Amino acid sequence: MDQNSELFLARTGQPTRWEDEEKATNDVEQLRAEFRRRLYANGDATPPAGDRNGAAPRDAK
Amino acid sequence: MDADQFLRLTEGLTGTPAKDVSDTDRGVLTTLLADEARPIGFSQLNELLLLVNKDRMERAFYDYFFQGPCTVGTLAAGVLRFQKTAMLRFGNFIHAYRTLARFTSVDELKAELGEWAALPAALAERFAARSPKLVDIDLIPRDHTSLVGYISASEVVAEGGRCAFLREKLPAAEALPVAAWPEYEAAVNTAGPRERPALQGLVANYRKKNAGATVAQFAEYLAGVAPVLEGNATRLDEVRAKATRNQDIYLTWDHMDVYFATSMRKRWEFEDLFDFVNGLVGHAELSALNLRHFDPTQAYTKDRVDKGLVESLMLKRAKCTVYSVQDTDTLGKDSELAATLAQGKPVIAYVPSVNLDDRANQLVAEEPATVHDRLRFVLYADDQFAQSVTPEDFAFVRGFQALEQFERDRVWRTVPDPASVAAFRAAHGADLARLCRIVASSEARIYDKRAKTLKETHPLGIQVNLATGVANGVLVVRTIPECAELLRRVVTNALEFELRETAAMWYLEERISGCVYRVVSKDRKLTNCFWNFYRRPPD
Repeated sequence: MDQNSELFLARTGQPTRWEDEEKATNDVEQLRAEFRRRLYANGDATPPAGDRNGAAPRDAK
Repeated sequence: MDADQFLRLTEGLTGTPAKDVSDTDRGVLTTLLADEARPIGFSQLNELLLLVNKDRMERAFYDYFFQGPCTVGTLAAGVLRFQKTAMLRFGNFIHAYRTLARFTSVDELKAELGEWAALPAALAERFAARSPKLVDIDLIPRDHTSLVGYISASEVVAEGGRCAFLREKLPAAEALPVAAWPEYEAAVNTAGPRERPALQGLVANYRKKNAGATVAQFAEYLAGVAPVLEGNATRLDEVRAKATRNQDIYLTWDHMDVYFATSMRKRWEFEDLFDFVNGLVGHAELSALNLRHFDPTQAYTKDRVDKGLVESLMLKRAKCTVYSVQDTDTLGKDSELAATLAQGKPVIAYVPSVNLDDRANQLVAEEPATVHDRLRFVLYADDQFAQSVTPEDFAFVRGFQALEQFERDRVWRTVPDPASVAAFRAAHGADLARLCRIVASSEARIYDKRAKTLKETHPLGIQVNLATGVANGVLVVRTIPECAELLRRVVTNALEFELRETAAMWYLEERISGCVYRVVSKDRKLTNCFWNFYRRPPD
């Protein structure tokens, strides 16, 4: 590995969060629905009633 | 002028070699052309052309290109005027001469030349006389422009969602005073597995900053933060609504002069473009023209298909594209550059020229998170980084991890935390200044290299008008004043060129940018094949 690559990796070792990932949509309602699904993904937690009707996100690019 | 010089002029005029010129003909030419002041009338020029076996021209051609009293000494200037026009309009000399030499009136000839025959003053007057906009866009302020993009929107959505979730998992009010962290953290861990690390990090960062804080105090803290996050969400919705209306307004404008091609993800990319667009269109060079432009920081389309169609329409309508070379070079921006060139329209590429002191100071004033992002960008984009810094600076960049730590310790990204920023600057001011200077130097290298690539090395820095075959080169500028002057000259047909000739080609070099704008290859095989297909009628 060259010096540039090594230095780059040393400075970018942080985990990527959802908001940093490229999205298939830029629509706020769809982003909200996508995030709610991620937040309540394992079935242990039930989304509040008002949050259940988010629009489905589009397919990934 | 001697006979050889005249023969070279006729080759430049007709685009074909002078053949079978006898010694007798040369002798006549030598005599006729010895006096530079000798007037050369329309019919006399034709007689000279026929003498060297070249096609004659109609009066309109002579009047248009050999203006004024034409003499032996001014023949070269007339041929040069024709060659420049031929390259601009036709991309070659042969077809240009054959076409233009046959027109019997100057008006017909001008009609064939179209925009290239328009007078700059008349065009400037036409721009100034246009009606003002009936409806203007509602300007989104600089520091809100990034909300048009997906990264800022995602941050607002995610942090609002996380805060709501954390509040939802708090014990009931009566249980809060005695609530313990393990039980609360267990409740937080019921979140989806991919979101858990972010939530756990958020709670951990709060507890690290507030040693000994209880769950009840965290509840109070969240109650204080929630309105800020809700305010962000409201602002996001307002900006998107405004940008959607702006998009509709752009669509209805009866004039569209300039399209800005750009790729924006990060906040500073929106803000840099906002500064560039407003600095450019507000420049004194352009103010009298009342140009209309499409500013992507001010418009939003929900659907990606519609967004693509809107941008395609703007590319069709605009007279030229200003391509802003920012951090991210993407398929979208490069496609817009190509689509503009393929229509035969000019592309001005703006590659910022970095002043090291100014840029370093600007970076120091940014939030540490932004400096961190800039560092990551230059380490990714500057393949000469390690080779270009001193060993001491390399070791410093390798070892200075305070930025990452600041980033890791942040509780929220979308809630300002001036106290933490001030504390960071107090603790690391000197190191931060050193790092910002290293980053600024690297940015300068990156932009210099991009300018060189577009201007000198990339074959697709020159593309072709697909309808006519005329080669069309990108014009690269490094400052806003240069960009403004070039843009004014583009829209008023006032560009100035030098015609250069090498062993391989003729090319037009634009004066302000120093870039190649038009080319005529001397490769016979390529030229013959190229024009056989480009000038062929559609199947």
